Amino acid sequence: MRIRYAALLAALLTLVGCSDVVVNPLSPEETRRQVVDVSRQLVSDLGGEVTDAQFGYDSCGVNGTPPFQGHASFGLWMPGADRTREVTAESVVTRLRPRGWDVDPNFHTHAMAFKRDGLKVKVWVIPPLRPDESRTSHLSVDVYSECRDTFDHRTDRTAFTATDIKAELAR
Amino acid sequence: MPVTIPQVKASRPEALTEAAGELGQKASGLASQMDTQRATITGLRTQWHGTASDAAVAKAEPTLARMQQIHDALTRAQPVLRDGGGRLGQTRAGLIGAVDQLQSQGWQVSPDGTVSVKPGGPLDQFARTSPVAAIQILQLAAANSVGLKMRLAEFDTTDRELDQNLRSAVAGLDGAPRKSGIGDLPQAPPYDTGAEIPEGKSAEEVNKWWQSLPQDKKDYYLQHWPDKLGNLNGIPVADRSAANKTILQRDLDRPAEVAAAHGVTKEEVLAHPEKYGMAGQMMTRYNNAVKVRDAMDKDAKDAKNPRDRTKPPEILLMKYDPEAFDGEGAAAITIGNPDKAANTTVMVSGLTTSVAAGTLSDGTGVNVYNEANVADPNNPTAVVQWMGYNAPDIDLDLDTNAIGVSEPFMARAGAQLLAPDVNGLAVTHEGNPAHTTVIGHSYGSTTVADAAAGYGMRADDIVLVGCPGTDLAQSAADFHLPPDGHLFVGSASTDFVTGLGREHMNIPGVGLGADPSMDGYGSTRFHAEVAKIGINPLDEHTSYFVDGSESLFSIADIVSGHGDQLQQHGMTADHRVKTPSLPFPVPGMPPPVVIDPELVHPSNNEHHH
Repeated sequence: MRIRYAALLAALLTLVGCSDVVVNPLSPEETRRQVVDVSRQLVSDLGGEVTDAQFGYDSCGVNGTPPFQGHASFGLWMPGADRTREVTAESVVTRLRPRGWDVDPNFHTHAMAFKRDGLKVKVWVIPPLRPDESRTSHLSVDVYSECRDTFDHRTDRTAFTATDIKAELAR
Repeated sequence: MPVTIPQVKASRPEALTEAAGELGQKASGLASQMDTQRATITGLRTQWHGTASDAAVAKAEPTLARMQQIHDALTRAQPVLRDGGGRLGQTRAGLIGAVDQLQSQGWQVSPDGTVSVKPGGPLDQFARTSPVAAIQILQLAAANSVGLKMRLAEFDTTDRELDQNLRSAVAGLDGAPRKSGIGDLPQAPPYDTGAEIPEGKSAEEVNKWWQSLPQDKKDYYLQHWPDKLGNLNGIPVADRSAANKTILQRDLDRPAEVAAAHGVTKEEVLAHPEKYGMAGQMMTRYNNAVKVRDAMDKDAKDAKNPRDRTKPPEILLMKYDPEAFDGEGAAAITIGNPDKAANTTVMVSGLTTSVAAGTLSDGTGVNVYNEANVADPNNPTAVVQWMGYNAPDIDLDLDTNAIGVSEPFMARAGAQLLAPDVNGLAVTHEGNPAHTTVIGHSYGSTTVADAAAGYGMRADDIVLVGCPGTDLAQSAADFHLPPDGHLFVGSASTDFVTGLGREHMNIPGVGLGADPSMDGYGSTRFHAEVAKIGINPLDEHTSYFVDGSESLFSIADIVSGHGDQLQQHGMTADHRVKTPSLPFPVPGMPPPVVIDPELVHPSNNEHHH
């Protein structure tokens, strides 16, 4: 049934000549704002210190074509934790759940992924390091918007470069 | 330059048979002249004695010998022309008939024999009814193209044979100058040609040579001969990358240099390259260089070191040939250094992909890198996104590349290029051998199957996703994996490309071979369903590397060396099965169909390590 449905759509779409349809498109600015807002909320609720933060646009299409999603990536120190050692995933969940974050308790040891206002948030807990390595953050966080930005970010190279948003998240 | 259909149409093979007739007449005319000449000489000998007579006879005899030579040549050439003309005429008639027939059926035929659908015609309308119909039309077009091209090749061969035979027939008639020996040539002064670089040698020999060089000599070669080192298997990937990045930068800088030389802006040169001698090859190099640079920047932006955000992985350019494949380009970008990583995975893409199309910045490589390195943050995985072969297009306006969709020749040609590149990585790897996985997606999975089954590619594990058929490989055993190696397969039940294998099509001789997700093939199948049915039917075919998908999660387990955990992670899937049937068709009995248990498997994009 699904196959027949897809084939029918294929025929329809080839006839109208479009492929990647975004029902409710967002502008690059709106996309960025959504991602930065959720990122700031997370930083604030965790009470963390931002080590570094970048924002960019990732293609959701074939061969790097539109639509695009907004994507923030940042590092965090957990408040009050030893900066030479790892933190536990539980300590992150403990801070987030009472503040309304829908964190699945069935998280893996080092990582958790959850949704906030329709955006995907992935938190990676940097694992224990070897003696020859030095710790530069406790967490590495990625926040993604939905694929609703129809601007072709290849044209101004914002598909391939990131901007520094540390100041915006640290406010 | 191959013969074209207009050239064949314009040719007049009957002129050759006519010429054969004329030659016959000329030869007999010459024969009678020679008879006269002989009679004259005999007359001279009997009736005229003395020095002057001897001189006259001496002069006349070579002329007679020359006439005899010409006569013999004409006699030999006559059947060559007659037979060759006849054969060319037959081939020409067959070709023109076939072209006329195809055109009357609604196909359009290009001068090189490529058959495609006439836009707007009934075949075009039919092709647009469904992806399956489109592929069927592509396959028909491909078969017709192959037929016409064979006839063209036959004409060309006959033409060449005729030319050769005619040359042999008339050999000795013209006094060609004697070839001068090599010693006659002036000797060029000795200079560095880079000839000592062992191009064409095995990766092992190349590596041995490179490792024997002191660092200053390596630096010298990298500086002076980057074009010979960048794509040479056996040279360490970091050094190849240094060489390739030098050439890439030259290609990127060229428009600005040309602009400076002409006193105009770079934008002006790029807008009107033909005015400044930049059109063609140089623009191809520039355009593909931009695509490669963008892709490396994209990977650098998104690739994460799971242990230290301040130390992102190296982005290396392992292969760079921007003019390859008629300007579609060849390149391979690595995330992490495959010579140092515990795990290496080589990704081979398929339908519609190329350097020129921007495939290298599609994010698939970086998604695999990030997920694999959080799957096992203690044993790094390096990813090679390999765009080193000519992959087919899927447009209905068929060109040669589109024919590849339903014919394996592009996969086999690609396999020949892929196998040495993968095997070369084992030669340059430092320390313990890496766990190497080759991932083929779409038509790239056919290429990977051919490389393993037919061209000696060695891998520890192989992953095929969105596979339309495994061509030379009939079962997992044909992949020549080590005893603990596995063939892993991800085929979304709704991905129509995975329904093009021979078990599904029921048309003998058509398609790219067996479906590796079938029961009995010997593969390990993992869940690869898409989270939501997209509005574009190709979505299901292009979603295997989507962040959070079951497919990417499973691939990360496999390439990081933990394929044995798929079961534990609940990622293994049941194979497709075919309903039983008799080996011959029975009227009234339905043909066998393939049943995919994955159709009822629900999925989401929330799978992360």
